[in-house]
Amino acid sequence: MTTIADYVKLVNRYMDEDLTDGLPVIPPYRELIAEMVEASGLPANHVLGIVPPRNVELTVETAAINAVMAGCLPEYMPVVIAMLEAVLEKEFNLVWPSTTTKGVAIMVIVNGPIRKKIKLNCQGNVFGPGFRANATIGRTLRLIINNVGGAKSQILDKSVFGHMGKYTYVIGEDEENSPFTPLHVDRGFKPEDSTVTVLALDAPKMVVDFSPAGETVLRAIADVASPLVNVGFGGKDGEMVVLLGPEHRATLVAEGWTKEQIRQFLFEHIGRKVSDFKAAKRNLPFTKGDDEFIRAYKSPEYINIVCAGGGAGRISAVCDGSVPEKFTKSQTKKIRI
Amino acid sequence: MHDGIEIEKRGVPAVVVCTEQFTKTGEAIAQMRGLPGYPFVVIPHPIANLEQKELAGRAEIAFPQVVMLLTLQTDQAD
Repeated sequence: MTTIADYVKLVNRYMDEDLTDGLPVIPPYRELIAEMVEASGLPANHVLGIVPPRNVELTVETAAINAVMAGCLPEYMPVVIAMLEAVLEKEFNLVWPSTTTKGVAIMVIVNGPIRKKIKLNCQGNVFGPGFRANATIGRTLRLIINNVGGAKSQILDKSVFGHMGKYTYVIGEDEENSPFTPLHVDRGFKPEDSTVTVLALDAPKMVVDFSPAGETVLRAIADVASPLVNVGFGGKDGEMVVLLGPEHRATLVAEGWTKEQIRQFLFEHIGRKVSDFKAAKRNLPFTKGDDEFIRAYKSPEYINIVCAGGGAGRISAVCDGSVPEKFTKSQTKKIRI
Repeated sequence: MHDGIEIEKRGVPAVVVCTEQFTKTGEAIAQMRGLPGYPFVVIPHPIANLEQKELAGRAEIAFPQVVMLLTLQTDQAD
């Protein structure tokens, strides 16, 4: 007879063999794996792609095994599959976020009706604990990077610091409480589609600003997004995400700001004056007057605006740390339900 | 490491050079690529922020090891 002690012993074996993220996993057994595969709507041996740096094929069955280990419910599988298809796209270049010293994590933004079905958190403590779908879908990705890709910490994942998003970095957009078009519609999908968008980004930085005016709020967001090392030499073709919190959004909407106006304003104000570079003894590879402004991004489209977060508190969040598209380019995939 | 192995697979002699911070990483990639023990040159860290003169110093450290690996007989490279 199998006892609880046997079960714990088995869990500890997964931990000892470095097949986890450092936390206990659910031992994947046949019935649960089969349920997970069935929920994907795909054959078990269907190949989703090649996972670097070990460059091995990822089948639906292997994805299902890691989803079980991570604690997913079968109804999360369509999201897991779309997320994996997205990160395995050539242009996303999974090897970079899996191994880089920069320590980015893969942010996963879910849009569309599936958020409600799987109770994905889009509101308070959206990056925080307590929500199974957010916690385990992202964890599945981390386990696959570790167990299938082989990017183990300190060996092939050479992050100097890494960040907490490497455990899970999954959020939903709070579409129901947003006056703006959601991210997936910006990217050409229909409102009734469910999608997953993946971007490799630093940890979120909070923009706590109690000022009552929309422009002041947007200038505060731009300020948080404009450290010299992030602006670089300007004109970057790397992406960032601005998460507008409910109170900031209410202010902007009351003043009549549209999403495109917000994006344009941020594009024009994220950056630094030439004199700031000089004061920091930082050389620019071109000559410009002290008062000239170096915009961080090449065009407004690199600034993704997403609505999320909890009701009380005048806070938005900036997730950046972008790098040129040749290293990694965000991807959006439709979820097949 | 990937580049070195791929270049050698095409019949072109190659030597991988990395800094000591990446020794374990290099060994792990060689193992993954089915070439455990694949020899490579290890030099002191860092590289990215060095001035020209310091870089030349790193090259001097690497050079004899590069020559050694390029002239090594295959059956010795285990």
